[in-house]
Amino acid sequence: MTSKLIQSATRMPRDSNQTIRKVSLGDITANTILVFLFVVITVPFIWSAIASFQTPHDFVSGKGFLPSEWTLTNYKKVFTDIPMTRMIANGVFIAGTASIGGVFASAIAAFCLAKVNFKGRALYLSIVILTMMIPPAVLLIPFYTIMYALSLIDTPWALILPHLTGSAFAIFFLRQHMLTIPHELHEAATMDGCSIASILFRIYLPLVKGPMSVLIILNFMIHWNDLLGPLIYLNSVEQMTPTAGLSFFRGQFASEYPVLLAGSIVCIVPTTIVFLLFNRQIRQGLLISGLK
Amino acid sequence: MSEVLNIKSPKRTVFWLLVFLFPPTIGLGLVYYSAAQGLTMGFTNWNIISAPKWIGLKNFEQIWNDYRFWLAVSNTFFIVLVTVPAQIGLGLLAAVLLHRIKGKTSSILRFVYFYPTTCSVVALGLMWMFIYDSGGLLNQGLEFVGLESVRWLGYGNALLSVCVLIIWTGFGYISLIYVAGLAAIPEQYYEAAHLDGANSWQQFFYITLPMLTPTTFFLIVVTTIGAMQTFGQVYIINGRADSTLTIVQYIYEKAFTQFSMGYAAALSWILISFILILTVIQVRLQRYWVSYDI
Repeated sequence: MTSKLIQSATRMPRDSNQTIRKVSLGDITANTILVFLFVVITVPFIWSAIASFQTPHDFVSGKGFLPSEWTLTNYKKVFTDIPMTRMIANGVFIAGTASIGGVFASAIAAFCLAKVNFKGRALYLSIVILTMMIPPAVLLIPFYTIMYALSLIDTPWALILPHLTGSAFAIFFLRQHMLTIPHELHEAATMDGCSIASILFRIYLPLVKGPMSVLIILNFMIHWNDLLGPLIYLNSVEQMTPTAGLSFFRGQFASEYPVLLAGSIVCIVPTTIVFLLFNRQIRQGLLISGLK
Repeated sequence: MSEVLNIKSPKRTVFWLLVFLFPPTIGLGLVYYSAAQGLTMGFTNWNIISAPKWIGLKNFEQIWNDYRFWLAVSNTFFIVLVTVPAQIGLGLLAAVLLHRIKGKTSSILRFVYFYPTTCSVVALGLMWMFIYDSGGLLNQGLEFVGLESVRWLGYGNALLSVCVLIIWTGFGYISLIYVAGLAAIPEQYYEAAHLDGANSWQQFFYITLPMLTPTTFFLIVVTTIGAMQTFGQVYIINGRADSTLTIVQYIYEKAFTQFSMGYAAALSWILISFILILTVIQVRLQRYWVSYDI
């Protein structure tokens, strides 16, 4: 409504009454704030990107915004002095396996809880939902001791295995989606003598592809960006993910800031690509789930 | 139960059910076992190598007298008190302004504001570490306008600098949620208010804000829980300096660098109680200001 008002106001001649000028003044203030926020968000990224092409000497002397000499040495160092290729591979492996495996396990469980009739189904569902009430901070230390007992510390599996069992939220979320699918579909399949496995894989999983991909994308980004987990479980450099690796090498490169900035840029490139490709699904997923 | 499969061959179905529910059942077992173990671990002295020793409430006594714990508590509450209102206020402002303009500009801006949320906390922390650096972007700017440079990560400033980073990262997510909330408000309300002669401010305070209170309530709860568990930003920006020590960072330090598992478990129970108490208070208070039926 307001915008319509403004549109009509701006079309009117200039010498009309005061309220109109007031509204357009509000418009200018509004746009100024929006532009200001835009600048505040983008400048740190632009500045870091530019600084990552600077020589350390240039960076320390801090003269002006632009480097006197553009150099790729920082990026070379990220991949030679820090085993970044290895770290990216670790990160992709951990985040990919944990998110895809976890969402598939959740979808399969959701199918059982939505479409198969068995004794104790309601109880099972409530036990699943109840786990959402347990804060992750409680589980941090016990999980570590379990992984320690299984001697999985310093392997990617310590970070992957806990997620492969599926998550309560994903199970609940996908169950809600499966409930909306009419049962005529599988009735026909049952008549034809299909097992519940083929009904699941041929009928239901393809039908919840959309919600599943939203969950996989969100989980991938969450796992990729996770710091605390890799910090706790991964001790040796060869096993580290980019986040843990960068924080590990922070001390060593304390005097070569541009290398760390180049590393940061490398670290956000994969999530940026995922975000650019799937930004609609990500935003939609965040709105539905409210999870960050 | 007509919506459920009519099972023809029960044996095969039972087999598949057992297979399908195997991973989540293991997961449930792990979670409940761990929750119970975490509860009892707080009453033990345990360094992970030797067997845990039951010491009753000694951990909690020690925590009570631990000045670093209280420092972590006050720092964490400071972060909550600063970042939650600031993020939500800024997010709401951005959302209201974004709602005024429609089309491509609006979606590009929403995209940009939200972008930092998708980035690794480590990368953002490192960027901001150099922005706050003595010769960093902020001080270059101050010098440019002829002001003295500030030690942004010095003892008195570090905590607030971390808060700025958290607000900068998080407000885009909040405005995203608010934009969706704004879109759900029926246009007729504004039209009616306009006919009654209400100006934009009145419309904002008497229609927009009350209609958004359920969203605001949700966001306050969620961001408070998040801010209570601040870790990555302080860990990256300030290392182990006490000026920005938070509760989660202290738990991390106790558990995984000193291996005082019992002490750390007791600390995490205190953190959870804090979060629980805050959430209960917020839920209780909502009936005074959240309107679900307009």
